[in-house]
Order: sequence, then structure tokens, then C-alpha cells
Amino acid sequence: MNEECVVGVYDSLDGAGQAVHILRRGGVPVRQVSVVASGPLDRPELVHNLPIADDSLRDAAIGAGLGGLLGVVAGIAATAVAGVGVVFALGPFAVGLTGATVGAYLGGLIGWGVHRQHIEHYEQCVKNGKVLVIANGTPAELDGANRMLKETNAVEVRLYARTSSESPEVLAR
Amino acid sequence: MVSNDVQERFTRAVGILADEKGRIKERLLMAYASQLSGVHVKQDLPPDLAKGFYEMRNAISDAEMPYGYGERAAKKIDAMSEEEASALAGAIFQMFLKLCGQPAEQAA
Repeated sequence: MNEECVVGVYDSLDGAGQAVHILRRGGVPVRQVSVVASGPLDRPELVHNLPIADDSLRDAAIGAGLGGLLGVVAGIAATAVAGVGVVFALGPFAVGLTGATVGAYLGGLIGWGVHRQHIEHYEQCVKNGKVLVIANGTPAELDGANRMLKETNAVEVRLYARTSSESPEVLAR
Repeated sequence: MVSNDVQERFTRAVGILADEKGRIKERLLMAYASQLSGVHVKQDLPPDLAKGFYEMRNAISDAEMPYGYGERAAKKIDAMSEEEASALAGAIFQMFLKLCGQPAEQAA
């Protein structure tokens, strides 16, 4: 079971999209990568520019209109989140997406070793318009993902292990 | 002797430089970050390639510098000229060609 993750924070969807592309070319399975962003409903480029693995998924999502993304295609979902707008998600974080707050939505990161204080930090990042790129996997996969993301334009990159969830400090790798 | 993993990394890196869309600086970042950042100079490369790879890496990224003082590839490549990026891409290709002439590890 994958119990670790690496989280990258990006200023823009372009930067996050580039990071996802690098992870994919670096061999990280797309199903293990999530992108979490918020945005107004009138920004179709948020979906159009995401490097979704299957072009048909992207086309379907665009064709359905932003408001109709929720539940339309597997692997990408959008929901209205109180106080934020619309949160988009790919990968494992698309499962079980509800209209909860961003904090509750990101609460699932605890299972991957992210301390609550950091989850609150990421919640604020999303509310402030930043984009999260989250990769989960085995330690070997995440060593690679961490290394790749550190070469990108991330505002910050942190690697977490399940055993670090109760510690306020990030497990140094 | 060069491992299959390193051979494949260089093959994919060259493929990215050749096939990916976008300007050379974007392709260089993609090739380095996704493939070549995982190459360990001392343990993965023969001496005749290690020096050139080390110079290429230093030109692209020193994100591994301690205490976070190094600059990541995205920032260094962004500051480069297109000509500098093209030259580094050419250096990667040359290393790939040299690797093609190296004996690869045999499957167990």
C-alpha cells in the first residue's frame, strides 16, 4: 500500500501542468498524481491546459462545460467548495470528492503522512490561488518524484512518509 | 559497463529533446528533470563520460547543493539563452551516442 506522498505547491496551473508532465515522462503513473486547484467557473483553460493522460477525457470535460465536470469523466472531477469556488482534482483525490471544505477535502493527506498543520497550510495555499501537485507511491517512486519536482518551478516541495504524520516536522529525506 | 537503467534514461532524454513540443528550453527541462536528474555520476557513468555529465549537470542544476543554496533546473534553464540550452541539448545527445558504444550490463 502506498503510504507516502510528495506535495508540490505551484503559483500557476501552467507550472503545475509542467510538473505533472515531468512526472509522467519520469515514469510516475498518472493515476498516482493529483492536481488540486481552485478557480472560477469561467476559466476553461484550467481544464484545457492540464496534461490529462487521455485526450478524450479532456475533450469530454471541455465539451461538457466546467459546470458539468462533476462526475462526467473518470479521473477528473470538480466540485463547488465553500469559500473557494470550484476545486479540480485528478488522480486519487478525485475519488469521493464532495462539497466539503478544502480542509476536509485535503484531510485525506493524513493517510499519506502529512501533518495536520501542513494540511492547513495547503488548504490556505489553494484558497490563495496556488495549485497543488500531489504524487503518492512507494518510497522508491517518491524519491524519484521528489527529485523531479525539486527541479521545477515549485514554490515548495515536501516529501512525507506515513510515519511522519504525527510529527510537526517533515521527515527529511 | 553502463546499467540498462542509465542507457534507458539517456534514450528517453534524447527522445524528449527530439519529440516533445515546445521550445528547446522547455524540452531541456523536461529531459533533465524527468530522466537525467536520476543519474548518479560516480556510480552510473564510466570515467570518460562522468566529467562531461558533471559539467552538463552543473550548468543545468545544482539543486542538490546543501542547505538549499543551489538553484533548480527550472530557474537556471529559464535564465539561459536559447543557444546555451541548445548547446546543452547537443551535449546530452553526444553523451547518448557515446553510451551507445558502451557495453551494457548483461541480464541476470
